[in-house]
Amino acid sequence: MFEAVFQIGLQIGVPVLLLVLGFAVGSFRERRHYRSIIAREAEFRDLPVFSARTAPSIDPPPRTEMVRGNVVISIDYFKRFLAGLRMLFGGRVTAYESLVDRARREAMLRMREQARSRGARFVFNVRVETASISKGAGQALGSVEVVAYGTAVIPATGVA
Amino acid sequence: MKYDNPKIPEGINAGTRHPLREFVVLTLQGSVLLLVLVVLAVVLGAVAGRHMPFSWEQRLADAVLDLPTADPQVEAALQDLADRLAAGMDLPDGMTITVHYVDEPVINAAATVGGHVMVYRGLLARLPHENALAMLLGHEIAHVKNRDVAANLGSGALLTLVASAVTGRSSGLVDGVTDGTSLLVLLQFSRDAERAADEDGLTAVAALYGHIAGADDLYRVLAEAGQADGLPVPEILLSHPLTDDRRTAIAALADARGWPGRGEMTPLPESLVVRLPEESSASD
Repeated sequence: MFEAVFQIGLQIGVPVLLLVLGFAVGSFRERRHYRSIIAREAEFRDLPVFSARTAPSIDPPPRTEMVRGNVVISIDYFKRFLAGLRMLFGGRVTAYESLVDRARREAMLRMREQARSRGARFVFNVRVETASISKGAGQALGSVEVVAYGTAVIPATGVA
Repeated sequence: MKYDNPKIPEGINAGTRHPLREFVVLTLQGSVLLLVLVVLAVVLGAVAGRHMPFSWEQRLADAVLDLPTADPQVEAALQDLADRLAAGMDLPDGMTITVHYVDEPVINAAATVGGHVMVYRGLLARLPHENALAMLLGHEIAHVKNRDVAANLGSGALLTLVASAVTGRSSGLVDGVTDGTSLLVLLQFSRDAERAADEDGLTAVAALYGHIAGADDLYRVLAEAGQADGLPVPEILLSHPLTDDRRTAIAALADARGWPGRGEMTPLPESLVVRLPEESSASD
């Protein structure tokens, strides 16, 4: 009897604990990440990025370099559970929306960071690619990889 | 041409709805859906199971049940009594009852697929006379005859289907339906089914002995065993009606049918007098 109660408690308690932990830690980290993203986006506003294929002609001709940033983010237990429930009824999977949003913006920021370290003024022809690296891992992994890359436009040295 | 990246307002690409609210709404929706599916599975599965030919049950039993013979002498004596009871129970054509004796101290007996009935040593050793044993066998045979086992099998199969659809694990389906152990777990009948089995069993006992004296000793033994366990279980949690209620129901039925409540008890045949080893106690 006691054993049965213990087993049921374990079977229900562990997932519930994981849900609570996942929600608490997951939302704390997400809020913190968003704060950091918004702050750094403001910081990098003077280094704009564009999807246009060609850079405007600048005189003297600038140097161009390829820059990229990539990131891998995992979803938490709570959000995965939420997304699983959402699969039953359809609709916006907001749990994954914020995951992908964070990953894209973070990748873009890392790309801009690299561009700034190269002395760039703009990044053109920016492309973003997303890959799920949990494919084939079933429920074991819920991670997304985003890589952003583009052509950094670096003014010729010695000219303002 | 001016090149710029303005600040974009938050909440466009990622939803701003609070995840807890979504969790509550989705969980409620999911629970309702699951409940509907489970009820449908149990009800439809039971209907389908009851209409399944008995020969299918037998084939399934042949494939999955592996009940070793613990004691051929005891089993033969149990089978003989079961056959005599079944003769008066008007079983459909092709329905067979096979009794197995399980040499374990559990105070229990059960009917499972294909007309197989298991009697455990723990219960057999506590029955005072053949009349109580006849009531037990009559009850279990009635479960087979009323297709309660088949109904459970059908419900269990559909429930497994629902479970695998919800969890997305398809491999459990085949295992869950055909795995012998899961069949044994499913052996909980509804309380209406238990009452009907009590009634049919008692009818068989009355037909065999001409009276029903001693039949309710079965429930006395079960009640004593339950008390020995020391754990009173609320009636609502039991699939079997409370034993006191069953004894009252038996008396009422006997009155209604005019079966004599007194009569000579038939002792257990010598081969059925099994003893409990000293070490096993009522709390098994």
